[in-house]
Amino acid sequence: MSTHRQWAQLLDAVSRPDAGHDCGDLLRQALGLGSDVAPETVGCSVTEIVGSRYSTPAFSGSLALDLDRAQYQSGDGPCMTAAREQQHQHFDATTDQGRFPGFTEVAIEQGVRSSVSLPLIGVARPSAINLYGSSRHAFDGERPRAVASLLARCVSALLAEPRLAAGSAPVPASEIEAAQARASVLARAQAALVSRQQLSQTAAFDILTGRSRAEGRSIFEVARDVVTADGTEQTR
Amino acid sequence: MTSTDSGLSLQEGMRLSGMTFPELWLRHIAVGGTAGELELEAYVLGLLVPDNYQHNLIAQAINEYFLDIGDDHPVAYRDAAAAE
Repeated sequence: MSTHRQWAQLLDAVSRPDAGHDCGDLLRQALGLGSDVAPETVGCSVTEIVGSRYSTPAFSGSLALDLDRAQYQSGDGPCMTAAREQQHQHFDATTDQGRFPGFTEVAIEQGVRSSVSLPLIGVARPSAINLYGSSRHAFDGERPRAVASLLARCVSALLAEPRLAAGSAPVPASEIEAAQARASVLARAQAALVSRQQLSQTAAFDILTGRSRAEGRSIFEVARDVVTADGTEQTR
Repeated sequence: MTSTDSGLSLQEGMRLSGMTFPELWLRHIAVGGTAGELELEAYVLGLLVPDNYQHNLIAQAINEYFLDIGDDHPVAYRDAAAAE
């Protein structure tokens, strides 16, 4: 199955938490999608704290499990810190040797040069998702950070008790209503074009975007013109 | 085959705008989009592949931001009619 299809499945599952998906399978699939965060990703795992113990309930690739265990055995590491302090942790094997000497030694032996760990929000036990990379700057870019953040929110939603729909920061209802009001003007313009010119909705949208581009104006101004012209025509 | 105008990709446009994803989601709703917040993020990041109509909805939503600040449609559209 393509990764696009796997993302589609994962996003569908986290947007419909009552649909009865198998969360175990989806969690394994989600961790496999860690490879989409950056080309240099070599492993992905979840660390959780149960009482005073740290464990890895799920992982993709045995290397990730080995690296998690190296941290548990040495008593500290970025994945443990992220789960314990619920804070994003970025690890660079070249510069962080002093912070996590035991883990750094194992990471370098295994060819790992960086990691990023993000706390999982809303789950029953303090937890983090970990991504391990084969280069120092594997997770530094804007896109890797954005994809890692999206993946962390999906995994949080899968592990949440009770399961909740995943989202971003809450958007005020008044802003959603304002956006819907603007959408209604656009919908009326599309309906007028569909009716007048026997078009599909998609083709009507293309006409509106085409005029917006040609005239260098907002699509909402174009839509208002179409609605006004339609009203004038109907009263003739 | 899908044709695309010259111009920025969705991801490039989003980066250049400095908008947050919740801001884009509101603009997406305003132009008639129905994708969820995370789905929209995945389209922009290239994790999901939008059809031409979905692509153009998102492109228009980003371009509306640029029109608001005096720029003119930097994000490319796809030729949706050619794909119908």
